Amino acid sequence: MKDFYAGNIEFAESYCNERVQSILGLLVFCKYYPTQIIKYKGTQYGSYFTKARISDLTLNHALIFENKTFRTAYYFNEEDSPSKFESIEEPPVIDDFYALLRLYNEIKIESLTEKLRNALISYYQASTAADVASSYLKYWICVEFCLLKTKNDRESDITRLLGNLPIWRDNYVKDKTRFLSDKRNEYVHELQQRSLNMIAFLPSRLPAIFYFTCC
Amino acid sequence: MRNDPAPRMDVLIKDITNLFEMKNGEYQLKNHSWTLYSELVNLLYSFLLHEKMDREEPAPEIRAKLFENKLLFGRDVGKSLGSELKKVFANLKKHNRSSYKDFKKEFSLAIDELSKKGQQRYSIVYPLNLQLSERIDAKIDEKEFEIIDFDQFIVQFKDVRRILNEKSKGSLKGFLDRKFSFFCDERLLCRQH
Repeated sequence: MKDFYAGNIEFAESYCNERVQSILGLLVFCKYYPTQIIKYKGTQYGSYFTKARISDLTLNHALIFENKTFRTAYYFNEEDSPSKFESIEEPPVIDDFYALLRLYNEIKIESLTEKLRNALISYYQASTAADVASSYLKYWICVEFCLLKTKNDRESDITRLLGNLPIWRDNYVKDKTRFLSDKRNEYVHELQQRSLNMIAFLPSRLPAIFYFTCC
Repeated sequence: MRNDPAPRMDVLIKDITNLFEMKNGEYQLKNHSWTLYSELVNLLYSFLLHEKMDREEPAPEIRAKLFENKLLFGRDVGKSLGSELKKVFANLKKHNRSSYKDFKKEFSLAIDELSKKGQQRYSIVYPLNLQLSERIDAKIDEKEFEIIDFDQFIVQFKDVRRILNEKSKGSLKGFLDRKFSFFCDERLLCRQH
């Protein structure tokens, strides 16, 4: 196992903060992705949500220990310790978490690992954001990490890998995934309902991406 | 044609070492020479640490070592520019060496020495309002982490119950709840400032 070296504890804390978010993103993802409809929990007035979130998981503090002795604590916000608890007690969720983590660790392409890591951080932030607007923005950023391509690429690494998965029953999936970036652009530039349907296709296929990238 | 910068760097190193004199049995910076010393060291850094300026060995190796060990020579917040190099120049003066080549050799040794010193092992723990059916013990990007329950956390970090119970740590007391889990990163090596 590798140690993590840092110039100072502040840098280490910042690095670990991203790391913990990506891991929790994967954990939350494993809990929620099998659900057909992911619901926001919160106060609803008619069709309008005020404060609402998908997961109750909260990251408020980091405790720093020096050789196992408490040294200091960092506060991400001033809120008190949370009173609600996120429960992950079903064995399949943990099994999926380990399986996806193992596959993630086997990915050899650094740029792809980075994209997935960023997508998972955004997924975590989207799932735990305190209101629907912030959550929507973070989901959008998550999709962007998956779809954006460089100037010279015809399509993003992730959609290309997704399309090439050998598991699809639908023969046209390969072609459909190639249009995801175009659909994203349609959605950004001209809001169209059919684009929304295609965009929604991507986050639900993240496990498949993991599997493929490791094959 | 590109001028060879080495002779100019030799002069620079000589000028810097000349700012040191024997005081109380060791070489120290002369009185009132700190400003000049900092300016000259700044010039030295801008040459040595710039990959296009000095391509000669061992400069690339020095830069790699600094990067690997996260040593921010010349850019450390809260430190006077060049303070970390005083010992290097004192050594050069002591041994009557003052070429750029000598400096690089001495500097490289100083980095090795510094990278071993002052490193502390830290653990970062994130309290989580997460109820898990089992402990999670895994690795990501070749680095270990674990998510443990309250009882395991108290065993691993022995004085934490007392600390969190202190009145001054008001908001942290909330984590003394057996329902909490704790995400632990335990293999962090950082330098103390």
